Amino acid sequence: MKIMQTRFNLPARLGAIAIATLFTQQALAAGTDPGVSVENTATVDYSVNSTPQATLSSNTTEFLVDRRVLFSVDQVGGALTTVTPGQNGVFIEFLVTNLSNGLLDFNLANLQLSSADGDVRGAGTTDSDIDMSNVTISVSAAADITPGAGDGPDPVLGGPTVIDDLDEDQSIRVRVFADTPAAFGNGDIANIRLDVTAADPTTGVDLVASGVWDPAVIDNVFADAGNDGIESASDGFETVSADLLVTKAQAVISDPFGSGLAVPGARIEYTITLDNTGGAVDATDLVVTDDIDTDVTFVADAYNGGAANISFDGGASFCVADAADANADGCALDGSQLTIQGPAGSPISVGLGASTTISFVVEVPTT
Amino acid sequence: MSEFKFVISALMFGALALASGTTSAQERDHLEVVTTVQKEITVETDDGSQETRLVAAESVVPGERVVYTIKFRNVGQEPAENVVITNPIAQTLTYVAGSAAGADLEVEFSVDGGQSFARAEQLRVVDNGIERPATTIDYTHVRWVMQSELAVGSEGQAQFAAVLE
Repeated sequence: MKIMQTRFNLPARLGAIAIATLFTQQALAAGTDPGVSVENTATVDYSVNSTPQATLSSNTTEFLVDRRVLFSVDQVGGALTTVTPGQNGVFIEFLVTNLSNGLLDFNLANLQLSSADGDVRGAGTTDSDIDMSNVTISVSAAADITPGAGDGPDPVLGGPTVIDDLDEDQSIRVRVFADTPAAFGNGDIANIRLDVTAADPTTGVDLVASGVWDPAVIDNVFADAGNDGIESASDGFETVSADLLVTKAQAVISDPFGSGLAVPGARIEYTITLDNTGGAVDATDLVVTDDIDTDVTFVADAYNGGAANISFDGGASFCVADAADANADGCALDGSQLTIQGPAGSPISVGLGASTTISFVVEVPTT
Repeated sequence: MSEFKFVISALMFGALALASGTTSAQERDHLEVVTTVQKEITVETDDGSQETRLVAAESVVPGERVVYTIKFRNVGQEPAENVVITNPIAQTLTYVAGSAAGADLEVEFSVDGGQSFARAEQLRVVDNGIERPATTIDYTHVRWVMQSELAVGSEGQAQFAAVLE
């Protein structure tokens, strides 16, 4: 800020206020804008034989302020974005900040990374050499209210795909949306790099370094890392899914001879265990089917005092497998195929780290 | 580089002398004054040390330092007395403390648009109603007051540096 000296008369002070205001506005800009002309003319006063001579002016030098291309691209959030197999419209987010001395456009591109690119967000975040599908870039509709705060509007799927006219010292949010292939398994990581290229705010064309510096035109001076006008940041998606371990055990629970063998007339209990201790999320909407061997007979009254034939968790609850699930309890026996899925609106689920068992009994025919 | 600069300066002096010869034959100027602008860059020399060099100000971005050089020469028939060179500091520039120099020249600054000048340590400004010593950002002009006569045919040089805001 350039301010008047104190010892001037009132008119001079009033003038000083006006000048100070001008200078203040200048000082608010973070950097002189590209294209501003900076001129300089010196003057010389002198006397000859004690006679003051007319003031002489020098030539005028001039240069145009050039464009200092400087910007940053940062990941937003502290970890990989967790997704589930088949989940669509998921995104990772970045913040692009224009640290140049003037308005800039930015062109955007994405690149699916591989394991060769290493960790993107700390240890254990290396790509699993799998790719997301339907990757699209979307820019927020407006810059941040507070630059750097990421408080602009949420970028939405189908939004702008380039950053148009980001002013100096402003930041804007960019999301990379993608769909998660259903084949992704628990722990699978798919990383994506966002490449941001500074572009001319008028034409939108990628900036190129000026080959020959010219004081009379706005040159592009790349001050970014690599001095190429391109900055990148990477982030990724980590798949979390249930990792269900299904086992089936059998035990002879009675036989005519007390032999413990599966002799004719013996009853055998099958127990199916659904174990989700190795997974990362709850397993829901489970459907268990079992083809009962035609050599054995399904016991229709094995549990709950003969009222049920399917037992959950060793008798914690029961259901009745009947033809076409006539009683709508989610258990059905269609011929020899047993289907267990819980009643409508209350499907079978196995919580993260939990397990559940389903038991039924068959009998070895005596004839 | 210095030879190159010398040639440029000599050419400019020549051009100016020619112009003044044709346009003001009756009242010929006693002095010639030519200003040039250069940019200060830091380069790494072969031995790894940092060295500051001046190059043509063809590409200047905010934060960079430019150096103005004002050369003046007595081309008249009489010695010039009370020679004072005045240079405004552009609004987009901030004077670099201690950079103004010149042989046999005393340096003064203005913080009031060139109406008054004083030595750096004597300047004060009122900032939001509070008087304080002026800082380089307050300077609007720099001037050099020659301490002796400029003899016929002799020349001098004034210089200052400023940072593009």
